[in-house]
Amino acid sequence: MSEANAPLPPEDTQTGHPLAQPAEEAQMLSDLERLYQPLVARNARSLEHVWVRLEQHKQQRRGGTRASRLPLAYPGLQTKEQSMQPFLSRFSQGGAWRRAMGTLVAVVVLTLLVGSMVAVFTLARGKTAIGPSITGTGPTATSAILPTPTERKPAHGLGTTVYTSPASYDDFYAFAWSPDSKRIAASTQSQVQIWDATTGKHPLTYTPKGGGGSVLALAWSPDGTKLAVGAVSSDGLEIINPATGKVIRTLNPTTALQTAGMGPEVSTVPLSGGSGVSAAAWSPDGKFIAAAFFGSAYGNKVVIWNIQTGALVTSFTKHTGEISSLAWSADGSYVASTSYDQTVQVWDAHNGKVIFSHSADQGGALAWSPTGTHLVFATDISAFQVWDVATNTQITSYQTQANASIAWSPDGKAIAVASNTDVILWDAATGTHIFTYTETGDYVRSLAWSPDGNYIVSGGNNEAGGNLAKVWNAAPLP
Amino acid sequence: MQQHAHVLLNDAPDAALYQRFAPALFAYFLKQTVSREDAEDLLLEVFLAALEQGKLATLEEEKQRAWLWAVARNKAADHFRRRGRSTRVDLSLVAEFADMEGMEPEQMLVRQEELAHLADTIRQLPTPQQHVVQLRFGHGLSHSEIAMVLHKREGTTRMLLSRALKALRSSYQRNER
Repeated sequence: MSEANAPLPPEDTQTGHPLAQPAEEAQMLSDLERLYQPLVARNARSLEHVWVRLEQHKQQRRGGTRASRLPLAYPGLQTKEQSMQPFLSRFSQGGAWRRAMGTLVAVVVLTLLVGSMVAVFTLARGKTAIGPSITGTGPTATSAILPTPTERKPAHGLGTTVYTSPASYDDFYAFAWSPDSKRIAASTQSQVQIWDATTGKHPLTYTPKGGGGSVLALAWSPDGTKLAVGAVSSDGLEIINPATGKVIRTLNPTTALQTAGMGPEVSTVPLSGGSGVSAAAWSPDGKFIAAAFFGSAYGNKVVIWNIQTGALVTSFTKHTGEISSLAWSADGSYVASTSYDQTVQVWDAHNGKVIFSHSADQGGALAWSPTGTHLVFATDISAFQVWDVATNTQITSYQTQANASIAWSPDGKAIAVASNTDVILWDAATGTHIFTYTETGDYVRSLAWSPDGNYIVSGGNNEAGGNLAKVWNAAPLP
Repeated sequence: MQQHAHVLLNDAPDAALYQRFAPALFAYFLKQTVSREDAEDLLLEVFLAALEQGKLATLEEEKQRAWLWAVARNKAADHFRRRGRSTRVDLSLVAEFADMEGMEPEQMLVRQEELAHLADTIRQLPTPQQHVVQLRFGHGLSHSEIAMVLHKREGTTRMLLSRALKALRSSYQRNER
């Protein structure tokens, strides 16, 4: 009998103390269960996520048999609820929160099914099923269409914090600025929050339809009308209207491959948890979207679509690990990608042909220079390098601990690196240190430079919780 | 419970291994690392090592536990060299009472207050006690698992939990009056 799997009986938690008032005692234990319910759910998700990744490794080792096309949940099980069951079973059965969880899961499963049907239908028709809608917009959505004009000139010096997100937002996996630098989209756990960049006003919340998993990918289209949202456990890349939070279309690589008649690997199995989107990037002209997919349902691949027609342009399948970062060069010719396979690859956006390849930090970050000639990426845990891609030469090297996020200033002068609990600005040309922002308070997971160059938004996903997004002056640079 | 596991995991020995040991190992990594992602990565590394090892699933449970924890502590040490050690554990609690179906508004208010009061009382506990309560109720760990995570003797963690619950219980009784 494994003690680990057994719910602790009441007398065990008592450790010698008699149950003087059983009703009160039961109330206390049930209240404790309630209080810790969010943590229990998060832990179950993490355990499931790791299990799924473990299964992926095993299947890769077996050489990608047919079985790897099956939805990958906990052994012998299909639905998310059941797959989380082994980790939830440690807790007392029949708790109210478990019932709530069951209902939620049922909704998620239904949404997944309906969502993928919609995606198939949409793609089959080859046009956008649901256009950006102005009907049914709530107060926040209406106001979000016309953001309050904000003072754009930084009133204070470099590194001054101008905005701190409310404590109700937590865990920042990704940020995206609107092209006019007025709005910020952030992934906070499994939702997207959009707000006026420096005031937090006109908040809009979007919950991905594919449900439940962390939102890892956010990309705002260059014309400002679309936001690409990619999550774990999603049924594809969701393109939403950032002003209304309405889904414009969902792009699913499996159905896309089918539609485009590419490849024999057509899955008719509904996609289950453990797959998703880890990164996304728009082409500079806004006509194409690249999205990195992972999981048994997809494999590790980048897929590029024509956003107007929904037609698949190309898919890049050379990474053997989950892709952590994607970026499109300024002229639209190349896409750079880096992965847990410890490589960075630069490839032709039209045909997937690799033009540059280098070893890299596992699951690291990368960014193009604004000119699209230079690429910066983490080479290992404590260094990153700038390379001239066309000539295959190293330009600069910086010794610093690199977290999973990096950004090049829009004027090309500086590079911002998330490094442990700081954000460090480096001179892109000389490699000298410019400034260290220390007010993040926590391990910095993500950052993004505003397109006008004035601000950086940074935020963490420290387990200690209470992560805050900070918007701070990143201009003028010396 | 064991029977339940057999039904689920009949022909999946590494799934049984994962189900048995992953929750405590994950709690351990969460305590040691700065981000949940890092903890997930480390957990993955431990079980990948277990796969490489190959025969772990056939060993006795005690040997499995010893092997996995040794690997886990090594992985954590490697990790600190690269990323630095976390200096604090997340002990935050949100007293949100979501499941209030069929309750009168007054009743809801009372329950919400009770829950907030409990959260307050927990926050006032000494940190080691808070941690043990969290490992018990937030991670569902047994006494022996909690002891592994905290690298303390089981008697110590039992005493910590017992003291914590005693404090919470007395606060409950005061609250009721």
